[in-house]
Amino acid sequence: MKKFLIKVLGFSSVFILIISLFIHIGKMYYCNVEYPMWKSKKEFLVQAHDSKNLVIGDSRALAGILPNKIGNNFYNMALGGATPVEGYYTLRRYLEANRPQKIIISYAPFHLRSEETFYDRTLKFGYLTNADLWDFCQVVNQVKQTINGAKLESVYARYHYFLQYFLALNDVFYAFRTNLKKLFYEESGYLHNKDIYREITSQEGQHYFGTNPYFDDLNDEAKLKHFKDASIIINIYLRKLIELALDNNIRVYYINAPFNEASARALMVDFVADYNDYMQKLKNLYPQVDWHSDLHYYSNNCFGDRSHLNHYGSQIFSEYVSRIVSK
Amino acid sequence: MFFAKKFMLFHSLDFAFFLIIVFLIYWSLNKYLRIQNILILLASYVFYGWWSLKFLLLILFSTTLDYFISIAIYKIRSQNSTQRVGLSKDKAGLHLLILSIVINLGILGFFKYYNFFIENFVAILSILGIHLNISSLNIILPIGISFYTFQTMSYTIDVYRGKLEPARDFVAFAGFVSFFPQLVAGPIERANDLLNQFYHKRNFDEQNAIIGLRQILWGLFKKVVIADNCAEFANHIFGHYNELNGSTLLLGAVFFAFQIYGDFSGYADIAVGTARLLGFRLMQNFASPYFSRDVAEFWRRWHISLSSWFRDYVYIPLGGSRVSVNKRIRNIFIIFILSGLWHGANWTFIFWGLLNAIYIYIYSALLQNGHEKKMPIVAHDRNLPTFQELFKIVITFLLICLSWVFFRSDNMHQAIIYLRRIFSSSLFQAPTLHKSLAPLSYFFIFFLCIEWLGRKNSFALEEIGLDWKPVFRYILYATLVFLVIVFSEKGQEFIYFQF
Repeated sequence: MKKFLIKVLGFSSVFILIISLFIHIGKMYYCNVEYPMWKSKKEFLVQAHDSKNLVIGDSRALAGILPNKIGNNFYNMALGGATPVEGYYTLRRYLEANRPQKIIISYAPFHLRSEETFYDRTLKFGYLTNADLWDFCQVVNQVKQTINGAKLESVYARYHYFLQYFLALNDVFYAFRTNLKKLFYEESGYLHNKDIYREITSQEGQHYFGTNPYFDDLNDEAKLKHFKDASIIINIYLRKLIELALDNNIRVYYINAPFNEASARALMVDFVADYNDYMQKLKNLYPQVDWHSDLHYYSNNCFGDRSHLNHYGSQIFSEYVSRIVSK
Repeated sequence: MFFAKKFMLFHSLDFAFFLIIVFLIYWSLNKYLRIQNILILLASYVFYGWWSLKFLLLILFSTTLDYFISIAIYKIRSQNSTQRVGLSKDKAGLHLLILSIVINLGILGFFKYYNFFIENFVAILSILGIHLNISSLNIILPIGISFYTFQTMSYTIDVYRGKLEPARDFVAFAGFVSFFPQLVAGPIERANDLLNQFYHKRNFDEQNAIIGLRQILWGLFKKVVIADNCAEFANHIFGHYNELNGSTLLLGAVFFAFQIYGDFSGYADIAVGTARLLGFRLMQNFASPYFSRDVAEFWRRWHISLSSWFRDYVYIPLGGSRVSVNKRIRNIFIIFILSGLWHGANWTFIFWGLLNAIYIYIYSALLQNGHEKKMPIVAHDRNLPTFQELFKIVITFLLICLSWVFFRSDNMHQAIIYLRRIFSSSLFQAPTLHKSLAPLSYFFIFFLCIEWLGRKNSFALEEIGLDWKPVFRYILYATLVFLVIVFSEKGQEFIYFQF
């Protein structure tokens, strides 16, 4: 019996070890296209020593702001699905070896409300360091908020305590197999991810999402009645981000990316009023920031999908951003 | 919340943890046979109760009924033989047996066939101009009811026939009825084989446990990688049968053939392997059926426990093959129609059985060479089949695939249209699949090679790799485990749960 159990445990341990190793080092094979974007930004943070100015934001900033177009030595550090939580740690880590003069902050109202991809991207892609995550847990625990319904203490434990790693393994296996299927059934995930990685590094961090010449579907904000339930954590981190920049004598621009016309016309009055109230409070708190946070729109032919600017739209928006940051 | 709605599937993490816990406690109680039996009974009830506590009571009722009726039958029989009282006592035993069968079949009939018979009864009456307003009931079919009902019935019949002494240990008997590895989808065990094992001390045998794990692994591979992937194609093709050409529909039947084989024989392998881990031996339910050279051979290799049940409890009592040709034909048709009905309350299952009976009849009446000496399995002493054998295997397989069309279709109309479209000029057009076959085909070739190489064994992987260097053997295991994890998507139940 003992011999049998040792054999089974030995086989299982080696198997789990190999799988776990692959989980950690094979992400380019099995993760979706978001991974190479996050990976390239993470690597940039570690390697950069030329103090470029940064664009910090979400996917709308990632698609809409062309660093080469806006000049002023900018690098687009925006991340798909990110909130000011990731933005704050991005700037904090960047400041360890760099002294940027300007940053552009750009988050869609939707990403000031909820942490939709905290588990799927921030944690899974390993974007935050252990120190970042520990700091994050302290902040969250102070305000006693949950992230996507889960207590942060357990998040920290699940992903970072070795013994509890195995409890999370099922989640990882699930992501693993659903993505691995893609390797078999569709074009190779690895090659595709590699292409995205090359593209994003050659374009100073910028990446297009939708590439359609016209899009008039409604974005997420157009479906919301109110903005009142903005996340406490995100609010804290947006302020921390602004304060960190100001403390380091960095010029801060807050610039909203445009909506498509269809979404702008469908926006609820209460939502707009709530959002404007929220932004006004921030403006009062931080008058030093150059605020361009009004909700505005471009015509539908500037959009490649319901939320992201296409090539044409990015050119127009980047010219607008360029004018602001060049003043 | 009294009833858990989720069933503990063999390829779920729930079952993996459940089995590990049961296995460790079970063998730690090695010195205490009775406590081991109690543990098996409790584990089996937890396993079934995980899905429904309500229907667990049904198993308990069936168990108690047959336990006491069998003892009563045996007592009457014993008094009969010692006192030589005569026919009246025999009749009392027979009455008890009939009572047991009527109650067991009554429960099965209510849950499984009530709506079918009511609907058909109302339809027939309406043809005759009598209109009844009897509505069908929303009845949930208890999982595994057909399997454990047949198992308990065979026990009571065997006691009545004097082939078996009734169980005096209720725990052992209840364990036999509800033994969790084979409770919900067989093999349908006989008391002579399984119940007896509950009475004898079971020692842990490392070699046997390793074989059990290999069999579980192969069963999981067949279910998760082969059956579930084939299901994607089969479901799509059967769902769009009106739009697809004949060759695609034929391919759909082939996909379903491998889906149901991988699904059902995979379950059987996991069941037998799990039982082995606990020191029990279950009967072999499949013996490479798709390598059969004729339909009769197929039925000796497919769902062996059910075929042998019908043979022993229906076919032979009706006279078997030692009767006139007409009666023999009648017996074959009865067996197959009953087999069809056992699978489900739908005319499609009955026609599926009927079609197989016609195959057997044509084969035995017209084609069977009485002098032909059959080897136990094709190419028994060779690596490859002869051309003639290959031809027979392909023809048999195609005939079986056509019968699966009835089995898989929702109704007779769909089955007939499906077959009509297969036998049209579009049969000679290239098949059109909704997604690439490439990844499945690699696993399929691997699967067929292993099945062919292991065709003489009780399961395909039984001896494969045993003479390899350990590192290569473990790479094979790791590959299979890996594929099982990768493809084990949630929610794919076993087809035979519905029977």
